[in-house]
Amino acid sequence: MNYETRTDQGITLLVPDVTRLDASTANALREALIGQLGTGAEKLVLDLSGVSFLDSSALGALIAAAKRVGPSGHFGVAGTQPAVARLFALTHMDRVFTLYPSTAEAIARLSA
Amino acid sequence: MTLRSTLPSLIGLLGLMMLATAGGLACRATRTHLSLVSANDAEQGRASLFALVAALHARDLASVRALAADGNRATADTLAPTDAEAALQVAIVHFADRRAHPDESAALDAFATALAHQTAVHASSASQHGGRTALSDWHRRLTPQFRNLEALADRPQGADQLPDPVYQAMADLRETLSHAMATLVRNRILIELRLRSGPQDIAPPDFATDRRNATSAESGAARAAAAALRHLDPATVRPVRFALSQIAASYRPAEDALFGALRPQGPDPVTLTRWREASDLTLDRLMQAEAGLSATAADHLAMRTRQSRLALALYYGLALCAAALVAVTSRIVMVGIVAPLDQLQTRLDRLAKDDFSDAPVSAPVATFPEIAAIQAALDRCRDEGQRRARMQAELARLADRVVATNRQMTEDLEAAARVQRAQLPAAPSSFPSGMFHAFFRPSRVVAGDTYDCLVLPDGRSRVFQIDVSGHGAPAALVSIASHIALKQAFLSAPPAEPMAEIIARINRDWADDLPYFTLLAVEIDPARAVAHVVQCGHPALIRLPATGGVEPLGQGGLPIGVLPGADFSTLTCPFRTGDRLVLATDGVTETADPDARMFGDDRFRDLLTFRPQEPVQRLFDRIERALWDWRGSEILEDDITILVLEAA
Repeated sequence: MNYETRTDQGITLLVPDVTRLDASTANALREALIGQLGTGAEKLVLDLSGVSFLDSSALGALIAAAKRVGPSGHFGVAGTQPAVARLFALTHMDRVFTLYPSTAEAIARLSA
Repeated sequence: MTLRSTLPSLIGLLGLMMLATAGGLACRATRTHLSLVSANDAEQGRASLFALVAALHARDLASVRALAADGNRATADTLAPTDAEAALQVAIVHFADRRAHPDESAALDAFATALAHQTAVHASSASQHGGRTALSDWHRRLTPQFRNLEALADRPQGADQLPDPVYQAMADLRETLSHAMATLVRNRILIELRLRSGPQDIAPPDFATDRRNATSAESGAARAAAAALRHLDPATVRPVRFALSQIAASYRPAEDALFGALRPQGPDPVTLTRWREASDLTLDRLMQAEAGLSATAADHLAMRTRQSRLALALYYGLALCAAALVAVTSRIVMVGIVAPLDQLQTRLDRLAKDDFSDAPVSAPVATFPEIAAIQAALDRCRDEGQRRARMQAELARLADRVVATNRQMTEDLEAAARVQRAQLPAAPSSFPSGMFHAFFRPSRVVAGDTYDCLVLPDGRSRVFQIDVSGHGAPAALVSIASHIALKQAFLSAPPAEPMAEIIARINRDWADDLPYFTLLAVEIDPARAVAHVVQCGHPALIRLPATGGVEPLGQGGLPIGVLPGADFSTLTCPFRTGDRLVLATDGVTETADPDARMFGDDRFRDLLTFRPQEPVQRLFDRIERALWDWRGSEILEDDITILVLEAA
């Protein structure tokens, strides 16, 4: 899995280039997220607008990232497609990290 | 045609050619040398004869001079037999040395005998009758023998030519000179003797013959000198020509004057003296020329002999060198090329057969850098081969170890799977107020899914289904651990403690670094015919009421191990006769077809409601078939577990 990052108003956006996040990409996703947090990205938003499927392994990566966010930090997920949104709803992930309808919304709200 | 046979053959051939060439040259040089030596001997023999003749003539001349001076008395001394015999002895030895032709030996013997006889006779008659008569007689008898001797000294017609034209020319000149001298001496003696005996004897037939001979000899000598000029330098020929020309220029006019001045009482004393002086002078010139020529010829012959000896040494040396060259080349080729090539071939054969045992100490015998380079390359090949062989052996050992390890791990996994299966309850099995059915298809040997059906002492039953995120051994371990934790908590918790609280406790205690898991727990209360449901991140419970339809229950919930302080809500639903509760892990709905499309909730629910009240086992069969058809294979991505609680 490859990804790109961009920073906008102090918010780091991480965009994976795959449509499926599953067991085969879970480790890479975990390393990417934790790597970004480790290099000082306080506010990290994962753009899932291009991801149509996300399984429990990838969810584990998101949970691991959420657990590593410091007290002043923030981890959010933006632009979930229906299947992913259903999984997040099923597992109550809104209690683990913040869900945004889009990256623009995430930036707007975080930079406010 | 091998290199081993070709190279030595070629060298041998080359060597033979060189040897033949050098040998041919050496043979020719030998022949030349031998002929030179032989010619030298022959010429020395002839020269001795000439010397003998000259000595005899000189003695005669001396006698004649003595006679002219002393009247009738000849000195016995000048006719001493010992001189002639000694000279003859030398001549015989020379002839014997060169193995003279029998004719020559015979002639020489005859002369020796005649000379000895005549000398003896002469000695006695000299004492009896006086010098003139004895000398005349001696001379008359020996003259034919002289002729024979001179003929003998001349090289016979058809004899081998000398190998050297220069020497040949000198020999011819010397022969001519000797003849001229002999003729001149004989003339002198004859004329002196005849003058003594009287003018009537001055022109006897043999004298005329002598004169004719002398004339022809002179012209022959001139021709010989002219011919010799082609081969000799003028400085050598000039004294000879001068000496020969003296005969015609000085002696002949004096002789003619003598003959013209003959008177009955004797010759004119002045003319006679002039004739004698001319004769002496000419003879001296001739003798000087002969001596000079003889010395030059000897020098030349010695030079030629030296040259031919040098040539001999050179050609035999060449032949030796050729032989040595062949020997050395053969040795170099055999030791430096053929033997190393044999060795290389052997080594290549062995390498080709993957035999790398060729030890490094195999003492290469290279003398040429090219062969040494090939040997070094072979060494590298061998080392590389040995390294490869070692690596292959190592790889084989590693592969064996991998296989063994794999077998061990598989056995361990299978043992773990047996442990995991042993945790699972029997199914179908009954619990108070219902039947428990289970459909379990792990995707690997060990599973991340697990479940249990526990009956509490008060008659309530607790059923749970766990799905640990991830796959394989780690998920299986967590699966076993979570199974034990839940089972123990569910069985040992106070009866009044709600299931959600027990679960919250487990969530709180769940180690932070362990994978999370989703859980669906159902508590059946037969007394009130209800089921309490706690949903932790797990797909929702599906209720199939006896009256038909499908009711998914619950709005999800946090998985266990995500938020330590989370609390969990409980849902309650009826559980009456004929009702069915279905618990399924996400492996069912997330089964993907070859195009990665999910099987999905709707298809699953359709399967569940297609034939209401159908025996659960047949429902399971239908679901399994549908999933396999969807997937297109029996290899699963994820564990699939479906539990059905059927109210009695």
